[in-house]
Amino acid sequence: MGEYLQNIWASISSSLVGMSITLKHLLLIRKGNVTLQYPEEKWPRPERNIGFDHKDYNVIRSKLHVDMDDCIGCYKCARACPVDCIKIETIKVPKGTDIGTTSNDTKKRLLVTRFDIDMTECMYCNLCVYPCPEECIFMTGGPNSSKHPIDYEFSEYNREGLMYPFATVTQEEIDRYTDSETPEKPAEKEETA
Amino acid sequence: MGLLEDKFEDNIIVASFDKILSWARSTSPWFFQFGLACCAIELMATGASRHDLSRIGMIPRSSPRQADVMIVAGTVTMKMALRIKKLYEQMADPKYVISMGSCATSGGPYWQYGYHVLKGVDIVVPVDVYVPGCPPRPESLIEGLIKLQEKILNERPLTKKAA
Repeated sequence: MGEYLQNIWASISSSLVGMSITLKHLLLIRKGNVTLQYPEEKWPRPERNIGFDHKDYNVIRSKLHVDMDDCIGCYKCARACPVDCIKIETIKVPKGTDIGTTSNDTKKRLLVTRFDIDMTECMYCNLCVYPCPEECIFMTGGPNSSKHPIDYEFSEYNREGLMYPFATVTQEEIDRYTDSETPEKPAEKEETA
Repeated sequence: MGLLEDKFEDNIIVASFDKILSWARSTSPWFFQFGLACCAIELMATGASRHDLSRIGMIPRSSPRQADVMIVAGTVTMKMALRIKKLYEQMADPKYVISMGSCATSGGPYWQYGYHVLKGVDIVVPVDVYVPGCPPRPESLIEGLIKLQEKILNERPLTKKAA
């Protein structure tokens, strides 16, 4: 009989001990928990020590972005890309025409008619970022985070939505430069990346 | 739901039942563990206590019969594609598919020369949400799952669709 009552007491007391721990966690829910309440809060990007100064090297893994005002169409990023997810097409403009300069005061010589980045094929290796002479292709966040805040959540309902066309050239501009009077260099030069 | 789906005219009772049904579906999409490659590590991290998928009502199931959402996480090889199709057909309706990561979405790094990789899991099964990343961070995956929940919430399962 005594053992029977002891067992009853043990079952009640042990569940009370367990529930008191649960209650403690319930009351301290915002203090001691480790779970990230994701849509409300996000973790800051961890400062990793990679051997370089963090400000100089953009090693972030987020959405690629191109500042088309600065792009000169040099294909360096497309050649560096190990998976060929950057597709560029350019048109050579006739001699003497001015299509603007970049923010580094480099004269633009090619009209970039197509600059597509397929983020479904990208493997976020940052290898396109380093060779760019105008520093116009980069992952959002990192050194350019003041202009382009970090963006790594961009899931889509359609696969086409993950293809990002960056080219800003209009059809009118293409017609103006290809149908010019100078007969020596009107040819369209296209290079498949 | 095969007996009742798309069977009723739109009226106030059907509409409210629709809302209850889609709410119940959207807040408990149990997912089918389908880790195939490195994305599975991020999927595990998402399920663990730091990010805690149970917070948004998702419980991992190991059987296709008990699952609502299949998260295809990783490189889909030609051999695995047949199994994916088979497992997808074993899931009970309503069923949803999330393509997680570059490889599952389009072949990823293997899209050009990968002789053994399926170029996108949407060739064999219909995909609802594409989560980009290589692999996606747990936050990206949760964002994709929240998008899927929004999609389920906007569905009208009982109402007749306009032809």
